[in-house]
Amino acid sequence: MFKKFIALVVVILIIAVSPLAVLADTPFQGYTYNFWGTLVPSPAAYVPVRSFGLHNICPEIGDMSDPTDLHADSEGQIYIVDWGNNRVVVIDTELNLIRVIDGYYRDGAWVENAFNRPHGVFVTDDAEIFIADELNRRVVVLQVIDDEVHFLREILSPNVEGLEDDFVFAPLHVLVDRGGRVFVIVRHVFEGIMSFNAAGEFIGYFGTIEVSFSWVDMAWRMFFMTEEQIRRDHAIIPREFRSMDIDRYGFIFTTHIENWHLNNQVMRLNPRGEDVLRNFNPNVVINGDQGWRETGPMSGPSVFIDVIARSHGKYSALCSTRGRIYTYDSEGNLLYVFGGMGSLEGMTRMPRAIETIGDDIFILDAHGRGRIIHYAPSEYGRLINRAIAMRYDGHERYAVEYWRQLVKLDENFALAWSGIGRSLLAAGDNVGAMEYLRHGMDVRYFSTAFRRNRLEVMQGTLPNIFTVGVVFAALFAGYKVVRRIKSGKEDDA
Amino acid sequence: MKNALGQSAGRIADFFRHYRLPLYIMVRPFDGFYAMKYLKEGTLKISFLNVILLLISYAINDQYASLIVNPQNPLTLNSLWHWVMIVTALILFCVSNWSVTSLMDGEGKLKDIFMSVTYAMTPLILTIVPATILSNFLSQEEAGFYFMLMSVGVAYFIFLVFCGLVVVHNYGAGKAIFSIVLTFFALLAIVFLITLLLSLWQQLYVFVYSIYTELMFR
Repeated sequence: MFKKFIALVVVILIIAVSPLAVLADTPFQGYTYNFWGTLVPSPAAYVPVRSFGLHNICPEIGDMSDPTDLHADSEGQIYIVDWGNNRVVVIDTELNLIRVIDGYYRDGAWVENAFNRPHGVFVTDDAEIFIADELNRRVVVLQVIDDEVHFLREILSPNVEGLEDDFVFAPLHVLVDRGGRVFVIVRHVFEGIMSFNAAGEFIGYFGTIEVSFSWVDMAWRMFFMTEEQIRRDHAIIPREFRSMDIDRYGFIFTTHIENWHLNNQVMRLNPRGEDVLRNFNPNVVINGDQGWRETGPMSGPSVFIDVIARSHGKYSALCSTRGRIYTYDSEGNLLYVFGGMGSLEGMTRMPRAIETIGDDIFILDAHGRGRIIHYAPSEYGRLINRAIAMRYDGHERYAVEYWRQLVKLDENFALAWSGIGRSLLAAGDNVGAMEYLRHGMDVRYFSTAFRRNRLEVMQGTLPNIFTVGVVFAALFAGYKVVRRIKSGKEDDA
Repeated sequence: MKNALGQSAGRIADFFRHYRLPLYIMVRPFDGFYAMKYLKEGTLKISFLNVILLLISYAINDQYASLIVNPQNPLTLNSLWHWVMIVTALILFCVSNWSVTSLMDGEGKLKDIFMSVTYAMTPLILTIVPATILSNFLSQEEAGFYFMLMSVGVAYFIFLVFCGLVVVHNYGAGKAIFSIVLTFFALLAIVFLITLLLSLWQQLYVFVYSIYTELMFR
């Protein structure tokens, strides 16, 4: 008896001290927003794997100084734009230094210290390296031939009519689509992203943000402001672009400065430059956090300083206010939020850029010596990514397995409920689908399930109702006829 | 026993005979409101019945309208709070309209104004509940029918309130519109005064309370 008791105590102790809470071991709390825009805590979808700076890779080339951009090419090499040191450092994911680009061969001659405050980098599939060289007022195109960096061409300030006299070509970010069009975000250019053709000729502005202009503003300007006041008031102009990335379909994701924090901060521009970003929930704007403190450290609305297009229509945006990464799917659902600001391992201090390789995410932190933080999906995040991938490819029925596992992990995750509902809808179980879609607050698909169910019910019952109606009508008509005949006979008699 | 039953049944029948007037007002607003005020056919009982019916139908709408037209968060849904809002708005409107029109040669008393607003609520009551039932048979594409029915009810209600005020105060159309505009300004003034009063009371309370604590610690 005593032995049994001791055994029981030991078993209980073993259960009590076993590390059940391993998954919760992140320095930040994951969350998402439900249909009504209320914050719902969730497990962490991504966990920090490691963080490294140049001192971990190759101490002899010195630390980063205010790095500004991060880019991964198709071979998995990571390009870090080291703004303060006027160079671009190329590493691979195994943390080996590939090369340092701070000069190039031009017409056979070596050019030392060729860059002056480079700000952005992009590498095409043909391995052409585009660098936005801000204070040299140019975008320079390089190529690595036999492990030596060679100059190909450069895009200089466009010399066209219509530009202001004091126009300064200060490129910040550069991007090339599959057609060879070059898109450049230029500092203090409000007209849009400048686009150039493959030959480097300016072809126009791209993706201009429409000016929002309220009637109140207009009336105020017309009736209550003097000429002098209007002259001194801030001009009503479109907002500046901040960053951009291109997805595999050639659509360009951009973030821009959003003054009122009421509209989306992310745009998805089609090749004609029109915003085609989708969001079906008007209660949650693609704007990061829906509520925030007004004062104190890390207060104010989210500011998306970089955006990255990810697989299967997903995109992630990096917030510089709180250092969080917001990931949305192609329908505008906020999938997960992770990361944060702080000095713990896995947190950022001065986030600047975001990049993705496979499903992993890399954040460039410009604080101090500069470092890169590597996040990898947790079990929870991996399930979401897989389920979204299945849905995006049209395999709603196969996605249900992942959604069911997600509901087990986190039953507050509305997207999982609506995912199960959608798969039931695809399988033809309209009543069950309605129940699950109601839990997931997926009004669009609920409506579809409801309409199909209504049709089914009507098809089942209406024939019976009509049959009974026809029988009654026939009986009534027969009764009338009989009575008329009878009364006719009586008249005759 | 039988007699008492008959009596109460008669009373109920009498009550519903009175309820013919709000229905009549829907069809012949000017005649109806004239009868309500000048022929003394209107009763406050019917007024309160209409308010209660409106509150109930509003709660039914909150609770039973389908997910597609009524995506309420069950954690924050509070019909009682909606009721407080409706009753407050009603009282505020009546009082401010009364205070404006008594300065503008309006003939209506507070009771008349209250009765004309509440008698005008019948179309609201008659549309909210059927629209709620209808919403459970509509998909997202057909939700427009629900919103159309609801807005018809509201528009008719506003029209009837306008007619009622015209008749009760013996105004022309232009003066009635002007008085309603002034009513909203008076409403704002009342809300402002209430806020001011509350904050003054709060300061007075803090003052007395600090004297009390001073005395206690002395």
